[in-house]
Amino acid sequence: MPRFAAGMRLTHRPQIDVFRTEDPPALTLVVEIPGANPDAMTIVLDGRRLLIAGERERPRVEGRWYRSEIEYGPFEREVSLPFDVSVEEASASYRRGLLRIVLPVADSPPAPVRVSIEVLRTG
Amino acid sequence: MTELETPLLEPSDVQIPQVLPILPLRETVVFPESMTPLAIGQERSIKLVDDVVAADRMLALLTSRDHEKETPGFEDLYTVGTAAVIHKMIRVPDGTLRVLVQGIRRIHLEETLDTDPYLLGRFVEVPDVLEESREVEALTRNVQNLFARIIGLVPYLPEELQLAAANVDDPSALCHLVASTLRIKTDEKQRLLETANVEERLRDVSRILNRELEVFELGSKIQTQVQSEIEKGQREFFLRQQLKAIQDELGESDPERAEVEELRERLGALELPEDVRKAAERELARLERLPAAAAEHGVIRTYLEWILTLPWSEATADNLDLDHAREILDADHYDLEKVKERIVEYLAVSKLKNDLSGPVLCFVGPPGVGKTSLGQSIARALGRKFVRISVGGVRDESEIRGHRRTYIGALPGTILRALRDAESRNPVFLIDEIDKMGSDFRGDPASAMLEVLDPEQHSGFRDHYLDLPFDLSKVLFICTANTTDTIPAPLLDRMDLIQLSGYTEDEKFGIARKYLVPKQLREHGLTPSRTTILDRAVRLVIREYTREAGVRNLERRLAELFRKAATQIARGEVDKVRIDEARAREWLGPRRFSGEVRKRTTEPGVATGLAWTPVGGEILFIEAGAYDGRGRLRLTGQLSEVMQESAQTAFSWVRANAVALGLDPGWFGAHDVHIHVPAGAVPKDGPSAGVAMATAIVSLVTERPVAADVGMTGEVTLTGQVLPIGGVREKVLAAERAGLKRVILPRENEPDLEELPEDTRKKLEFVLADEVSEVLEAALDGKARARLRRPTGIERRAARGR
Repeated sequence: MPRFAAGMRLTHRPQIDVFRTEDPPALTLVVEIPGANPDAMTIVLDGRRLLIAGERERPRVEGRWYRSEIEYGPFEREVSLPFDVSVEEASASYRRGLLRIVLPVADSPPAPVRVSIEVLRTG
Repeated sequence: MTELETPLLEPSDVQIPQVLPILPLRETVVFPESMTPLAIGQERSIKLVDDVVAADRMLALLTSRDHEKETPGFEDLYTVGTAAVIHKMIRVPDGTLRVLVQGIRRIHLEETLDTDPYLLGRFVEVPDVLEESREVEALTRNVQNLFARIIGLVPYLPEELQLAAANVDDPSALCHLVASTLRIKTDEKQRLLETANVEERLRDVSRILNRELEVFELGSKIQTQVQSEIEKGQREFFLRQQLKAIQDELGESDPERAEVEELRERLGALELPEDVRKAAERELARLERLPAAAAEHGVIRTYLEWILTLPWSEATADNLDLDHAREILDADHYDLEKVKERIVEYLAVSKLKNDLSGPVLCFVGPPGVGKTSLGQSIARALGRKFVRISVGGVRDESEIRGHRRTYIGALPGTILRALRDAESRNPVFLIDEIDKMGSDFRGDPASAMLEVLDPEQHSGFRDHYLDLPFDLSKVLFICTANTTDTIPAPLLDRMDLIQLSGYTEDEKFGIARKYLVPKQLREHGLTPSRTTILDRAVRLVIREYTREAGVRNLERRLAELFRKAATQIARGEVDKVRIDEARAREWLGPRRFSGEVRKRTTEPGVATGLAWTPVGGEILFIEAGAYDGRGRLRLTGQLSEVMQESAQTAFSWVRANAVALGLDPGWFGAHDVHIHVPAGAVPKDGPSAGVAMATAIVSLVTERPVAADVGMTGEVTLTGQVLPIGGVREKVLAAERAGLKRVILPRENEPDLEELPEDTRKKLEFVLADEVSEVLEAALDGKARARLRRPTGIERRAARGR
């Protein structure tokens, strides 16, 4: 049975957790994407939509493969957010293979513009 | 939280190298944008995957035209395929590979480069041709709808595809999605892949979807039907099981099946004609399908029982020993010389022909002369079974041939019923009283008898009930009748008549001694040593207590005597009984028949005629009376037209010859004559009483009584001739029984006297007459008494007063 992804591109989709914490109220996203280069990641907020993209480069191997299960190459995820967030105080960090994005809850809708979030490199 | 419907980023642009290794596919087509798992086992393909995985993971997938071919070459492959990336790969322990490939874009093989270690080619991309239009949009939606419906119907397509299909709005991708998920033929898939024009491809896809939908819907309809049939069958089975359980509880465990099995077994054991067996098996199959409660069940059962009990092949062996036959006939019947001879002749012919299917014998004669028992004797002589039916009073054709099975309570006709009782297909079949068969609106039984008795037809006798041909040709039919007059001519035509006439007193005596007395002794538990009857007593019984052609009443009277004897012995009053004349008179009471003739004919105007009836001969009194009148003739006594005319003829002759006869010619002008023939309730026919009437009239006019011991018969003409008549033997025997001494017969009947038994001829005096005058001379013998004047009736006195 062939699998079929809508509008398939040569990208893969890492797994994501999303949760809200209070004091201060904030939304946190965790992306499971080890082996990626944090410098080449793109995080864009567009209203209530958040896009995460990057690449996990396939290692060059001279030899014979027995298993090839890990997905390499470009990845991307689009997530719709449950409420408005403020982009000014948003932060992102990459540690131990997990990309963590924290978005403070906003009282009013943000300006409808695309804003990029820098990824902090830690550990 | 849901996935966004449209990506924010443009699809990443993958560069496809011009030169690609080729992985041939069998029985599958990989479409762009689809993920397909493949199993790879061939040496060169494994080598290919190894190389590709270690490099840029790109390869070309081309489908083979011939899926039978193990290692296809370039010439076996379609030239349009898909460029793909190996996404995941696992080497399984047996050395073969499972790979997950992802189609990228359509490519066309431009040039073949290498075949070793695997196929290598140069490719160009074949981009979609798509013009955005309303039509394409409509087609796209149509395909989406159809696909959604198919997913609902088809078990192998997961529900999630619904969502996936709804999310694809790119028409080309939609086509690829549908094409890759449907189980359609490989060449059809290939054609879809090769179609670069998206609109055209959409049309193809929707055509295929429509067709598949139809097939699936039909399939599911069939499925539903089968399902409901199974459910129905299960329900019936369940109910039957319950019924069976109930029956078991009631102690009626499945009698139906046992019944059908029993019938089948019996059927199998029988030797049946082919068509009968077929019919029986057909009915048996029907019986099996019917519940015992169905009304039809009993009908079919009865029908099968009939088939089973009829003697289709059972037969007895014939004994055609003529001497043996003669012995048995002699042992069973007294005298009847001619009849026995005739029967033996018949058997002799049958023996030579080796076939008993000749004409049907018919015994004609008065009651009690042994017609039925002759039939029994023949059966005994031949060693055949004997059956007897009586068709006297039968008016309904269906009595003979049965009713159709559609009628409630229908049964086969009397013919087949009798054969069943005979348990043999070649019995002696006695049909009694065939002259007394009636016919009315219910049909004509005589016509049905025709079929039974006609040797040309009866090999395939078809009873209405059975509706199967039954062979009657081996049956020996014998009919009995009292007279042939009432037997329909076509029936009579098929029979060989054997006349049995009445018995004389001596013959009756012989029969009584030889058969009746021993038989009655036996039936009353008496022995000849303790009970004897004297010859004189037997003759007394014959003479004074019976008057009949046969011996039926004689037997009854004898039985009466032996009953009384048995009573005495049983009471212990006596040890031995000897029946003499006095004892017989005492026990039988006053004599029943005696000098009736004498008493009746003492007066002038009464003559004794002789008549023939189907039950034997009779004496008949012709009474003539006169009163004042003008010479008219009055006739009473249920006389037929013929007899009335014969009376008028006699009257006219007497009047015409009054002078010659010495009568007073004026007498007739002054008197009316009344002729009456008792008994008044019995119809009478025939011209043979002519002479008796003339005699009565002359006796009346002359007042000379007719001699008491003379009986007469003969037809009279206007010129006074006496014409011959029939039934001489019966008439003479009747005269003998009545105690007459002289019988006046037409001279032309002289040869018939030869037929009479010896002792009868001796006992009686015969007067043969040519003319009425001779009759008168003999009858009015002019004895003194005739002149005697006696106080008589009013008419005569009145006549005399004139």
